[in-house]
Amino acid sequence: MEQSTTRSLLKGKILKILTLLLLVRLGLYIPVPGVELDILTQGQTSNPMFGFAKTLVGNSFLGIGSLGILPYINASIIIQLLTPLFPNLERLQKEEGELGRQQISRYTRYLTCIWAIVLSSAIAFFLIKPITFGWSLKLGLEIVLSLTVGSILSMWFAELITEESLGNGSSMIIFINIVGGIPNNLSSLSKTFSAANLASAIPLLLTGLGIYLGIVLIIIFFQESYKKITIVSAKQLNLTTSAQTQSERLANNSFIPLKLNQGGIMPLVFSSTIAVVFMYPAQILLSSALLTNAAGLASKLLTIYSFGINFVLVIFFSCFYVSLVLKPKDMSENLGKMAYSIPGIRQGKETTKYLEKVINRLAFIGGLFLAFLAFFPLFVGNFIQFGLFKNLTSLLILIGVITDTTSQITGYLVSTRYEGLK
Amino acid sequence: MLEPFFKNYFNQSLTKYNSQVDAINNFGPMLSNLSDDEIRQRVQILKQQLLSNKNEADIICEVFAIVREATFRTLDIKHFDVQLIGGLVLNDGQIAEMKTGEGKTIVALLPTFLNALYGKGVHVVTVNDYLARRDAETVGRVHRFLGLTVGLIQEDMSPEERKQNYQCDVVYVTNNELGFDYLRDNMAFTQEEVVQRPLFYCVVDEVDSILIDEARTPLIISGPSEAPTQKYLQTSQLARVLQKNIHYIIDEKNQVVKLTDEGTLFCEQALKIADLYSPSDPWISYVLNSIKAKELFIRNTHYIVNVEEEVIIVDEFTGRTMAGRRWSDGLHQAIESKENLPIQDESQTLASITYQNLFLLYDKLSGMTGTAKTEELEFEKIYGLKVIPIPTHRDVKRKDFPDLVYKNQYLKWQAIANECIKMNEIDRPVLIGTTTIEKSELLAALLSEYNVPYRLLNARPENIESEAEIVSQAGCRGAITISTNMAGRGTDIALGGNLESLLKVKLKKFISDLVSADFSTVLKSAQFDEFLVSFVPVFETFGLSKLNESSVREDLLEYLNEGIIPDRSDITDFITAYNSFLKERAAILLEEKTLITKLGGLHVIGTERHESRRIDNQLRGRSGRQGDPGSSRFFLSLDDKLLRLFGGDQILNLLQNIGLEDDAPIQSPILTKSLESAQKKVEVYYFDSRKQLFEYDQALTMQRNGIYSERKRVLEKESLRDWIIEYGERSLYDITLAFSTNTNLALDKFFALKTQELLGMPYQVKWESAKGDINVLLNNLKHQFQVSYTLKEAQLEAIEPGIMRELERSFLLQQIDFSWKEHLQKISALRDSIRWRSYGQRDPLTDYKKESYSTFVTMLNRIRHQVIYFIFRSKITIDFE
Repeated sequence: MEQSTTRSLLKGKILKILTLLLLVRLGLYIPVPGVELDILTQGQTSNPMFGFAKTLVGNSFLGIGSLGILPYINASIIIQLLTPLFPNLERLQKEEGELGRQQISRYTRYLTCIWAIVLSSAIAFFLIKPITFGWSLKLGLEIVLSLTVGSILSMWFAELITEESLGNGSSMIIFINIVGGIPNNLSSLSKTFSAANLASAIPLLLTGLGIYLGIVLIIIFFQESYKKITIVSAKQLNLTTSAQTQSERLANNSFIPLKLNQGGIMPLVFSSTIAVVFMYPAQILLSSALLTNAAGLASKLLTIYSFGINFVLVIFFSCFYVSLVLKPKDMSENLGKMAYSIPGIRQGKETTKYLEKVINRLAFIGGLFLAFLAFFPLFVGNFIQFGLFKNLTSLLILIGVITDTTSQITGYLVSTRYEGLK
Repeated sequence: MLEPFFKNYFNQSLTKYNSQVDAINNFGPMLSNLSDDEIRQRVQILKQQLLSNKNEADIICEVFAIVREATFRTLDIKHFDVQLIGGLVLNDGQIAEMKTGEGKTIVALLPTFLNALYGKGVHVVTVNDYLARRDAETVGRVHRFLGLTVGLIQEDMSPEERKQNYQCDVVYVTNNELGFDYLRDNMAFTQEEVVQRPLFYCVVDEVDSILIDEARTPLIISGPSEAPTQKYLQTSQLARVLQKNIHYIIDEKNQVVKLTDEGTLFCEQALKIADLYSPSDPWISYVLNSIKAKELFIRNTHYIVNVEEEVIIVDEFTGRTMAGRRWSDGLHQAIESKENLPIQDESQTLASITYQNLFLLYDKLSGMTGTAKTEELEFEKIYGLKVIPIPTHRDVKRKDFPDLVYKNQYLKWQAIANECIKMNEIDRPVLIGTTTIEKSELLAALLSEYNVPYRLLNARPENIESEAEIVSQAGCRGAITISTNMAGRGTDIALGGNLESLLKVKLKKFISDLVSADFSTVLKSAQFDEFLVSFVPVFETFGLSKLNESSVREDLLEYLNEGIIPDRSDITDFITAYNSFLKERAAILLEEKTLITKLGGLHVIGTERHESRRIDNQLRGRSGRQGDPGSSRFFLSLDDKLLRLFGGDQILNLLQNIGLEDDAPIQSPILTKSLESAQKKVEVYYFDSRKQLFEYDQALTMQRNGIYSERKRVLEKESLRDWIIEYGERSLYDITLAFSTNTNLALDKFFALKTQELLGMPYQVKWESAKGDINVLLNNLKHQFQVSYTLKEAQLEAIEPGIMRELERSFLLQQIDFSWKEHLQKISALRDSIRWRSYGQRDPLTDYKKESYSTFVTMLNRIRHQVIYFIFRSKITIDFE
């Protein structure tokens, strides 16, 4: 009986999530009234802000769900970044328990709403207005209203999905958007090859596929790697009387896993935004050179420059983000409060120092790894036109969502395995 | 705007029941014409009908009508229609919210009787022994009248008594006893030791107290385990020297202490050790416990010390002592050491269960309380119980005055004392609720100073004895009753006093005194008061000699309870005197009651807001029962714990704006509101932790159910031979499988050893053959195992026939219990450490589920292996003497 209820419960959860995701997708195909369908295909891709939006949204015409989950994600990130800076927010998150967290998610929702209005206004007045014939203020407001409502709906769906506790709702929505974009990528891929000789293309294609799979494996390995910091509680120390021996006691499941890539995609998101700031002056500086006969050299310089900037930025933000979310001082204080200690290291300052060292190293190595992963596919992407290669962020999200959800589901199914035991 | 909609919804849930109530009412006239015997016959017919077609709906209305009639005949009380609705709600497995004084106990009669007809045993769960006894004695009469058996479980009962009582149709029992009996049953070594029947249906009285307030504390049966008591002595001395905020920091909200770097150094120097955390000689937990004992656990608040020099825990919610329960992980020892008491042995958990999981074992669960609505969500989410408020028979007329907030404790208690004096001058009865024993005694001392008479009710043994009497008199003119949370639940304070229960209490005491002392001295003693005077002539004719026979004494008490006058002239005299006394006094009582009603009824004074609004509402609910007038007011102070810890900046700001004059209390709706929000904050905080507890517990629940049902099968099964053989084969399979996939040559020896253990003999395993296909090897081993086992069996049976079956059972049970104990320890360590996983962005719950599962599987394998090993190792030595 137990088994069937768990399974049917899980089925229900999955069904609910799929339905919600379907609704989110549907929002993309309901056009915003008054806007021509193919408007976005017309040369707007050069705008970096919109380009990023497009990768997250995964579609190229303006539906009411076009803005979608983006404002909610931005708002969550902003709140997450602000939390350590404002003591009031931090207290809500740390000390007030569930009620505090509810308060924070309320703030996030308000911010989402405001941000959605800002973004949709930007889209309406800067992107749509210049290329629409029958423009009027009323149309503009309609666009703002539709996009904002669409994104608030997405937020609601995301929260509903999260409630099913099989993974984070926003990530899943991004996931489904990326997956939704794959057919487009494939078609562009096939275009690359249809022109060339198919026979010569096949080995290339296979190598590409091999490299691709290799990258996926590396990413999984990279995402799932963590350093085990063994800890021991005062209570465990006292269990000497029981049959457990010393070694058994230490080889147990009490440890702090510190992830190699603690920041996930966050460092990439930051660096790609900030890189634009650094690139702009360089572009202007070199744009004059581009017209002269040194054009080749100039463009090469620009590429190398952009490369270096991005590389440094990714590592920097990896360290920066980790310093925001993992605070050695807090951790060592918590260890003290719960009467845990790291064997061989004294509590208090020494523990803090040790954690600091470990975390900093991890963050640096993680950043290096991330930077490598971020740019390696670019090389490959140069000769195989496959969108997924170009965008590591998407790949990281895809893999993250899949591993996360799988883990949740297996955790859920553990309870059914008790039935088989006797 | 939403009001009409909700009202509609609210009524809808009750209209469902209204037609049933009409049907019950229709049976009334017919039943009142039947004789007692005819009614009992009718019950038997209905019972047969229920057992044959299992359709409750067919007979529910008639059964309820019969219970109502029987209640009228035995107790002289007739269920109101709303009470019938309450019964129907309970029968549907829901929570009925009924205000105090609406007769919850007789409502419970209806569904318990109906479900008892199934013959599977029905439990009525109360919060303390006194209530269980009271209910079994009074309303239990109805069940007995209708031909059912009524059982009662009390703390001091022997296993035989318990078993006998659990066999009854309706059992009155406390949650505590119920839980411990359940755990003990699952540690029994023979079928005869099991006292409970499978859990079928229960009505939980004060359901919020049991399922919510107590949900967080698991019931634990523990066994002794050695601990160095010397360490406690040293650290508690050390703790006295350590200074707050220099050597350690206290987090009062989370109840944790932490040593500072300075403190760590200081301790290490004082104890002359290098490292507090050293794995070979750990001190840290002793130090922390001693500091906790010093700062967070206060005598007469969290615990009392009784005459036997034991530290007894006082329950924070009920104000009652919890004898036999100990704080875990060495905390109890640290407190004993702080109080300079003998330090008892450390204990190790042998079995444990939380109330949450215990009550979910019932096929059908229902509950009743006066205060459930605030926790509606929790009941629904965790227990799947809906809360349905039952309208009161008469409207509540109690006035709840706004809180008065004082600047400090001193002013607050002065104001409370003044309020008492004021009420006392006009002879109005007052009930003062305090949060701890210490505070109740503080107020008592204050009132003594002002020469105001009062009664004190708290968990001290000397006070608890007279609990029933104090409560029965709390509604008398001019009575001032100071109480801890004890008075919060299950006490029904009748205006003018409850004469019948008072008289019963006195007579009981009187009769037992008579036996132990000389007749004439008791008569003359000061305790002999006006209530007993009219009984003197009866006792004199009755004669002392008769009372000396314990059987007569017991009869007497029972007749008092049953109210049925037996055909024995000596006792009839006594009962007649009792009844005529009551009748005579009834008129005076009524007069008193109208007088007190005119004065405004019972006034309830709260002295502190509790963390949970329900506890406050419980206290308020003591006043204004059954439409009586009454009032309540809370006196608070700015340094009350709740305000201090959870008030937040809002309240502080508010106070700065108001500006506080010295003595004047603040009485502001904004303040009351922010107080309430502080309480809400705490409630959500605890709900969260209970929800988490529940989620984590689910894994352990499945494991417990698995182990316990296996254990039960072991007890019930005639011969375990087949099982043991199967265990052995399974273990061999595990080993060969592990071997065939193993590449580490060094481990081969280990496998060989394990195999030998399982075969009970040295055996040259041809491992090479297994590398390809394990089946051949496995079959060989299995065959060898069966041969060995049969051989061993023959060998042992030859010496003592029947010994093998006994060995199998006892080894298996021992192994299950031992491994389960170890397992509990491992799981508890896992629980503690798993939260650190969130640092690696992993979901601790998911990790916990997976890892606890593999721990469980390891345990099962271990049990199987060990049983075989022990059986093969056992030898019988014969004494030739």
